[in-house]
Amino acid sequence: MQRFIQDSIEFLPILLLGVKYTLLVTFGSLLLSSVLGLLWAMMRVSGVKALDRTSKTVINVIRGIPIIVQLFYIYFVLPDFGIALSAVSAAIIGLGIAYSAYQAENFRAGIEAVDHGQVEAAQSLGMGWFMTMRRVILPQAVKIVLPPYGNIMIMMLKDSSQASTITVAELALQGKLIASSTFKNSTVFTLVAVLYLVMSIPLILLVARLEKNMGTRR
Amino acid sequence: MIELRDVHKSFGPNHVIRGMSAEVKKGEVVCIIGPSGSGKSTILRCINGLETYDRGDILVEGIRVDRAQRSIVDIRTRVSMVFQRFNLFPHRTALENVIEGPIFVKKEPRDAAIAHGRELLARVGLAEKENAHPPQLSGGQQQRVAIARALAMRPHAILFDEPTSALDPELVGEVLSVMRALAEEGMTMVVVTHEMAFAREVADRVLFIDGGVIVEQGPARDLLTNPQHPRTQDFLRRVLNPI
Repeated sequence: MQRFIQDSIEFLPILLLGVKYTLLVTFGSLLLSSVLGLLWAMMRVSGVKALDRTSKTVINVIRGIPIIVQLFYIYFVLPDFGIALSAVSAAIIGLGIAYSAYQAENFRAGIEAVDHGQVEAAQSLGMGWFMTMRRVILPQAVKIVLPPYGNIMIMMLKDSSQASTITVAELALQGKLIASSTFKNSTVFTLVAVLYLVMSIPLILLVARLEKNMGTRR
Repeated sequence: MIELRDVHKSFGPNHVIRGMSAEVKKGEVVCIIGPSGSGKSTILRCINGLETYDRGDILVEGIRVDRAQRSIVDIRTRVSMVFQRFNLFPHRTALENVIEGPIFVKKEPRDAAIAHGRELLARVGLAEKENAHPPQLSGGQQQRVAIARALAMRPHAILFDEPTSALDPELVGEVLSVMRALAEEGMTMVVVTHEMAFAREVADRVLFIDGGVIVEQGPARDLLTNPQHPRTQDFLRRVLNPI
């Protein structure tokens, strides 16, 4: 046990460097996936066939390709077309795009769960499509969408470890590097696991709190 | 004010409106009665473009109702709608529901909209409920807020789609009395309803619709007490003596 604590004190600063990148990639890609996901979802419910179909195709293509392959594509293939991104940017964009498909389906489900009478009430007041979305539908959809959104946040935190495959020195990669140079596998990976868990707890609490706040407003 | 000229509408193979022509004059209260599935709600919804129609013309103050045109916004601000299930915005308070349209669609200054909104809530007897959210209100109160929301647009006419059908019987009266007061102030109203007593007392004219056509229309008292067409007679007999 003493050994474990000594090693931990030695390894933690290095692992925390990885935590920094883990958080950067997670929140960067969370933001991007939310924006893109909302865009795909709006296209799906726009009532314009061409937009709906385009969005559906995009979502299916994104969902059908493993995240790791998408990351390889952005980091290793795009430079052939003159687009060279840093590893961190590539990771944020790759994970952001990959997760936008899941975000989109979640948002769409939330939007479609809002009673159609709400759309009619908004229309009968003379609201256009965008205003109906912004003032009437989305504020109600948020409540429906939140629990699965929390799930996605936690999945993204964990999947940020896939950025290690394109050389981002995030937590999992730092752990692997320390482990392979010290052979202290059990100590290192226990620490890594605990750090992921610790990072996910605030997310879990945040969602619980948001849900509660929204709940009391009704 | 509102004019229907040979309006037709189908839902797929279902020809639900088979040529309706009618006119509603300014200040008139017209009740539409008829069995369920007769097309009475559908024709009402066509008037402010919640439904499209396939043939004929619907004119509101001379402008043709067409969902694809920009003018539909103008028509909807002139002709408000009150729904069977209220359709209040549950995430906003009573007052916020009422001022939503004036502020965001008609771009009225916020202070003026709030003052007018409070006035309207008082008029429907809900001044003290302005901060309540819809789920905290009874059905009758929600419907009265919905009427205030419709009035807030300063409409030239209001369409009511079975406004009391979703209410518990003891709450129907409070909504009807608000509507009656509106009628007495000269508001143009088109009301789809099953409340025959309201139609008889308040309406100027009644249209009886069945099978997608206007079977009979006339002054409210005449039509309800002395219907000419056998289908109207049959319908009224069944509505007035249900057992």
